[in-house]
Parts: sequence; C-alpha cells; structure tokens
Amino acid sequence: MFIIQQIISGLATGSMYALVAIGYSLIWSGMRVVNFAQGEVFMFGAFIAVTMFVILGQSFLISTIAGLIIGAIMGWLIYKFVVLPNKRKGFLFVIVGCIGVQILLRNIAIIIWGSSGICFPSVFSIKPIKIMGILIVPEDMWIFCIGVIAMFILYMFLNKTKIGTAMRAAAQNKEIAMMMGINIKLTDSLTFLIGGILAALAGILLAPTVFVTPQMGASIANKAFSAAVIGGFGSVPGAVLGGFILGIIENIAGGFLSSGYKDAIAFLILILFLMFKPSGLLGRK
Amino acid sequence: MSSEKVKVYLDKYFLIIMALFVIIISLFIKNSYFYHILILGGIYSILAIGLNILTGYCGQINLGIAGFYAIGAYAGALGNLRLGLNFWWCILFAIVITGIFGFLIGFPALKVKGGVYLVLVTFGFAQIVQVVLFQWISLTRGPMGLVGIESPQIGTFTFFLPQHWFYLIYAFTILVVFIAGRIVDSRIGRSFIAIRESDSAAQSIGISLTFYKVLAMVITSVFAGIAGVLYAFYMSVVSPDAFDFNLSVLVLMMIVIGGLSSIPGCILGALAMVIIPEFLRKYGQFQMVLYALGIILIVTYLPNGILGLGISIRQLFAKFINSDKH
Repeated sequence: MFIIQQIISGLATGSMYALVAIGYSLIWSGMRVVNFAQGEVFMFGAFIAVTMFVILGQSFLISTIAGLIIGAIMGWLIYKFVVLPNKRKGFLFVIVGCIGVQILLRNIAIIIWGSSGICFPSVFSIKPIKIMGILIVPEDMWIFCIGVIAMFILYMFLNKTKIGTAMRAAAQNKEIAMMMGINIKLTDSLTFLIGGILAALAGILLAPTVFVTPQMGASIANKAFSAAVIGGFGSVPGAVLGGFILGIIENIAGGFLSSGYKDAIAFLILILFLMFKPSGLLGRK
Repeated sequence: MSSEKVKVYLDKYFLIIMALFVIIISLFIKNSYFYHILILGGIYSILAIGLNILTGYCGQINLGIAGFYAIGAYAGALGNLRLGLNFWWCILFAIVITGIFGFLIGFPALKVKGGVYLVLVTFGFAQIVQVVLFQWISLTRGPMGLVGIESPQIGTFTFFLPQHWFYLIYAFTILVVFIAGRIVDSRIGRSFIAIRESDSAAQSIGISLTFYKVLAMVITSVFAGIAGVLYAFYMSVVSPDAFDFNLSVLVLMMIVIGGLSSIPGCILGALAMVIIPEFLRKYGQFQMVLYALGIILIVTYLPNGILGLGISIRQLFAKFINSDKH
C-alpha cells in the first residue's frame, strides 16, 4: 500500500520532470545543443505566476497564461541572443553562454523577489481522498493530469501539424530539411519557444506545492537532465518515460533514505546510465 | 609590436617572465591582502592550466573540475589530519587519488561520441562529490569541515607568512607551467590538438582516442588535485561549500577569457577572475548580474579571450584603413 502511494505521488513529480526533460531532448534533437538555462525559465515561470496570483490577485488561469507567455519569450530570447550567435564557435561556447544566462536569471530573480521566496497558496485540494483503499492527494492528480494533457497537445502538434512535422524533419536531417524548403531558423526558434513553455508550465505546476524561490531552478534542472538521459537524450517519448521513472524511484527511495541523499539519487542514476547505457532506454544512437 | 609577436615572446620567455614577476612582487609588496589575492590567483592558475589541457587542447568539455579540486583538497586534509602525512606526502597522496578518479571518469569519455555525455558525466560527478562530502559526516565532518591542517615545512623552516606562501604557491605554479609546456610541445600535446580538431581524422592517422582522452583527463585531474592540496594547506580549513558548480564555471571562464589553449592566457584569466570580483563587490547583489552579463558577452564577442582582443582590434583597424584606399 505504502509503495503504491509513493508511486502515485511520484507520478506527479514525474510529470514535472518529464515536461522539463522534454525541453532538453527537443532542443538536443533539433539543434545538438543543451540549454543549461532551462531550469531558470522554470523558476521564472513560477515567479511570474505567483506574482500575478498572490500579489496582483489575478485568477489562477490568467496567472498561468502569463507565466507560459513569459516562458515562451524567455526561451526565444535565449535562442536569439545566446545560442544562435555561438553555434558556429562550438559547443563549449553555447554551454558557457547558457550557464551565464542561468546565473543572470537567478540573480535577477533574487533582486526582484528576494532570495527567500514567496509562498504560493495551494490551488488544488491537498486533503487526501481514499480511492480503493489508497490515499490520493487531489493536487498530485491535477498536476499529473495537466502534465499529461500538455504532453498530449505537444504530441498532436509534433505529429499532426505541418510545422510540427517540419520540426521533426529538421531534427532528423538538417540539410535535407533545408533542401525541402523548411525554414530552419523558424523550427529552431520554435523548439526553444516550446521548451520555454514546457519549463514554465512545470514551474507553475510545482509552485503550489513548495515555496517559490530563486534556487528552485537548479535542482529541477539536474533532475530533468537525469530524466532525459534515462529515457534517451534527444528522444521526446524517452524524456516522458524517464521523467516518470525518476519521479517514482525518487519517491520510493525517499521513503527509505535520508532526504540529503535523496537528491544524490538522481545524480547517481544519471552517472550509472551514462556509464552503462548512455543511449538511455528509448534512445536510438 | 604586433600582437602576434607579443604572443610569441610571451610563450617563449614566459617562465622567465613569471619568475621575474614573483621576485619583483615579493620585493615591493607588503600588503597581505594583496598577497592573498595573488596566492588564490596562483592556485586557480594551476586549476585553469589543468582544465586547459583537457578542454582547450584536447577539446573535451569538463564541467566538473570542482570535483577533482575537492578530492585533492580533502585528500590533502585527511592525509594530514588522519594519516599524519606532511604536506609533501599529501601532494603525492592527492596526485594518486585524483589520478585514479580521473582515470575512472575518463572512460565514459571514450565510450560515446558527441560532447554532451562527457559534459553530463563530469557535471554529475562534481555534484555527487559535493553531496558525499556534505553527507559522509564520519569521514569529512560534513558542513563543519576539517580544520587545523598543519603548515608545510622544509626541514625546520615553516611556511606561514603570506610571503612564504606566495613563494611556495608560485613555485608550484611555475613548475606546473613548465610541465604543461613540455606536455603541449610534445607528441602528446600534438595528439591532443589533433583529437580536438577531429576525432575521426586523428583516429585515421593512428592516434588512439582511448589512450589520449583518458590521459588528458588524468592530467587535468592531477593538476586539480595539486591545486586542491595547496588550497587546503593554505587555508588550513576545508569545507564542502567551497567546491560547488559555480567554481567549475569560474575555472571554465578563466580559460575562455585567457584564450583556450594558451598557457599564459590561463594565468591571466585566473588572475582576472580573482581580481575582478573584488572590484565588483561594491555593487552588492548586482555583482553577480554583471558577472553573468560578462560571461555572456565575452563568450559571444571575445571567443579568443583577452589575448585575442589584440588581433581583432588590429583587424578592425585594417578594415578601416583599407576601406579608405579604393
């Protein structure tokens, strides 16, 4: 029973890891680049939403939309000003540039909102309900469901729309995609835009359950890396799978180990996978 | 003097220039804060030169040098406090331990192609090292850190004044510059550069990727380990919070500012990254914002580092002058 409860709350955490991890894999598959600032977009999305919800008193829906828009804009800005100018020079420069963005965003957040953070009041009920003898927290279920809906929308976009298919084509083979007339700049910027939206959504989903602080970007980024690698770095379905697996394993292990080591689990799994199965569970290469 | 000529002179006579610099400084400077900055700069130089071998010359990105630095520092601290080793034995001890870790982490480097895997492995490694240092209280006393590391001695002479440390640290720095210079100029160094330019081309002329990539990683980790021991003994205290991801980023910035694959550049970069934060300190919270902006701007507009600035200014002038003559 205990295990099943851990699994269910792990699904909620997992869907958040999955959303951010999808961003990493999308960007990697499309552009062979890692956006180290993804965690900070996550954090900013949460802060914008909490500011609108708590300080400006807007509804949760409007706050969420505001957060998502900011997430999209930030994703695009990172692409335009940091990734695009540095792509030719090599991987190292893009990485260091993104790390610079990471530090920049974190400290701007500290200046604007202070480093102790804001409390986001619970939007969904946190009183557990008993379904078939298992205690389920509605908040967890909401987070899980919204996450899954977002993934479904993304799936439809990537597979059923013309632009989505163009993005997939560009990810498969850039030169041929260009020859077919696909605008690579457009698909690349869309990739970052979508990554930003997903990260911001994950942040907004997490916000009601914890304090929104400028440091929350760092830990989610690491966990999402592990999730993406577990599933196969560059594979979007892999990121989803990896996110859920990591969320569940973390929750189960958290029940048995001290919380300090719990954070190390994600890193441990990351290194184990990188050493023994670097292509992850669903990766192709 | 054209900037290329400056570069050539720098490389050839760098060791002498450094020795002169050390002597002149020690004759004229009495301010111990000044010495502290320079000493940190010297320790970071060793880190930077080490990282440069792997990332600048061999082209393998390492996001976790803080991990090897931490292992070196704790090996030194524990060697002294628990095993009773003196400073010099601790250096050897740390070299062996960090070398082993460098070797173990080096293998994933050859297992997979594509830069991202090494990036994530080294990143994850450094994070795990820090977590373990915080949590393994019985070994490391966790956040309380290890204190009371003894001062180094030669015979009856003890190094404790800032000037003593200045000489000791820079003696090591000059030694590291010398060794790095020999490595870079040798067949090993040329193999590193070949691998950086193209994995497959290097392989096709018979360079063993496995051997050289792992070797580069071991060299880097050993240098970082030496820097760690120096740090531990200089501060006489070690604690886990000094060895975080920000430190790895700092060292990476040092070699980017100094210009990748330039040993004098590493030292310039290291000194810059120690001195500049001191200037920015008065801006309080904005210090980090300016630092971050600096990272982004330098990476985007000065990829050849400060030394590259000379070349691009000359090119700028050349264009300007030539455009007048039609």
